Amino acid sequence: MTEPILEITNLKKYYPVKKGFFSRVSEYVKAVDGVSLSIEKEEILGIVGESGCGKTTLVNTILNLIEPNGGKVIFNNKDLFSLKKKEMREIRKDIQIVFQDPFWSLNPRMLLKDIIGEPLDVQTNLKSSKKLEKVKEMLKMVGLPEESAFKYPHEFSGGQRQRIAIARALVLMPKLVVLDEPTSSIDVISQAQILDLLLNLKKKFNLTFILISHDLSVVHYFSDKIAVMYLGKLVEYGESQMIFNNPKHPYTKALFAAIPDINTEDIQNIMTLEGRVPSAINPPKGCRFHPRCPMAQEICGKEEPPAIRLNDKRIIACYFVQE
Amino acid sequence: MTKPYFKIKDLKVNFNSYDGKKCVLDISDLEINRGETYGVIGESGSGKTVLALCILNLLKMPPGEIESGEILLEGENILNKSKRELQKEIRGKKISMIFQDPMSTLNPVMTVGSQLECVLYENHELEGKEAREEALKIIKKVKLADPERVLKNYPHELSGGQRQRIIIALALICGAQFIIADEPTRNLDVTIQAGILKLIKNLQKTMGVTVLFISNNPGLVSAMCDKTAILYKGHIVEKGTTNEVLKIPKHPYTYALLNAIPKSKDHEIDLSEIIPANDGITTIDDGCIYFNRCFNQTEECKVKQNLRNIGGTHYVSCHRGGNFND
Repeated sequence: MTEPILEITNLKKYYPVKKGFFSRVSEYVKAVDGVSLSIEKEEILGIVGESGCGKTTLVNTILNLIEPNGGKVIFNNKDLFSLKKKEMREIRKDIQIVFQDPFWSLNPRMLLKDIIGEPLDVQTNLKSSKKLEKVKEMLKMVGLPEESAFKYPHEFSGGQRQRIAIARALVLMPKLVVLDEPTSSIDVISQAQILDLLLNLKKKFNLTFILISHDLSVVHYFSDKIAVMYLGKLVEYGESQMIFNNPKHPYTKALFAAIPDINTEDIQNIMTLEGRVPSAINPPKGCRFHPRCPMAQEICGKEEPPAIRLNDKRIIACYFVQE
Repeated sequence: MTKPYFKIKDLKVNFNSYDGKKCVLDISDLEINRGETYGVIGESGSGKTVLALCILNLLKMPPGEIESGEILLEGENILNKSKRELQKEIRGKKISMIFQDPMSTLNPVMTVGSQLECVLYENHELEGKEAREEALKIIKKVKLADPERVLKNYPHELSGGQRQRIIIALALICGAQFIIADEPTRNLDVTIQAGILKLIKNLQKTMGVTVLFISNNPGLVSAMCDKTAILYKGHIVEKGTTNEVLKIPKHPYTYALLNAIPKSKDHEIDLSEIIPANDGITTIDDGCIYFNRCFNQTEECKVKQNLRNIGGTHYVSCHRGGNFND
């Protein structure tokens, strides 16, 4: 359990903003700005943050779908960005993704056997009869009938489609699966079923998950560790239980306080953050959260707080956090 | 008891499909008093949106068909109104709706200001300076920063939360007293969601509007609503005050729904017992509509279950009335 499967150090991704007649690059959107994380084997890491904070960019760089501007991602002792194309293709077998919207991520003109079988075509040379067998096995595993192999995606509901996407991601037996808001477009009961399915599959195949979500209750239920992001920066990272019971960064606190649950009697008791997320092109100087922070003082606007490690192993970037 | 402000009586809505008629909504009784916030919770496909569309008479017919029933607003049946009456008197002036997707409900080629003025012209024939002033007033009411600039903006220049505020403004601008909010914070971030919900609640207090709040999230309904109804396959299976329904649920479906919300690591969701898979829309014969998914089926469940009172304002359509563990 102590060996990290994925290590990210100081990862940066800047998108250029082109302006003027000659499309000169004058500014950058700092989507991910110096993020360091590590994930151990068979662990679930939840990444939380508002939209536009760089969650999706972060995982896209982890998957090597976009090239970063700096930093390292080490997966299974291999540096992903120094690999040749062929070697990378080998590794893709081990890293898979389940996308956010099952209505867009499945090709409407392909039968399920082709959708789920496609990774097998790319990565292995199984015979078609063997392939079909494998597809049926996967369908059964995610709780769909075997006959569905000869159906099209439109014949399924949102929850069922997400099962199909999970079957496709797992067909190659990956080691790391990235779940990009896997339940954001389905309702609570299907969501509970999908989460339950994912946890069972994780036990069965010793998977490691990265879960991106803005639904904090899902993250709380699901993850071992969580990372809270704000404007491309990591603000708090540590054991999930600990952070939920005792959030320390003012942003994490505000984020948690903003969710009404069944015990909330009046919406007026819910705390809201003033203002909105500033632009990532010209992020505020110093601590990026300081214009909205209730605890902000002079120093916050001048210098960026360093990430410090507390006794309980959580990493936090704030000047005013006590042990 | 005073006459209820809004009432639905024996409403039955069918959809005609290739496999014959399917009942999508069957509500025998739903009453909302003036100034109340009424929550409707249900899964996707339970008929929440059909209910909202029926009230505004926007349901596409065919395939939809209102078989019978009455929707009464201040004692007048909306379903009997002509198209012209609906457009001139009801929609916008008396009832209006906040739609669920702020990204696609605004016209992308019109500025926010002209969209607001358009509504004013349609309903009150206000034009020019007067309309602009009205628009400015409502923009200030929904607490958007820099209102003059917002009026000149196109929807794509605004964020999701700002757009949702514009939609709320559009719903309120002609003085509607009954607002249907169909999942108003879907697709919004939690921090923005709280702001929008607070805004709706505040406007409700200051302007005295009645809100029908549709959502699939029991947490939001609990924070927003005075009364709650649980919709399952077009039927209300439980209703009462929000506290009654969500704190002491008496229908196995409500129980399952509340249990399906993930809470923390220590709280295990035992799915096997609580929620067998959804079988899609089935034709409802005689028995309880929840029969197929219920974890404790008995002989008595094979009879149609009607809503019955179990004390106070709490109604439930289950013969066990809450003792579902024995």
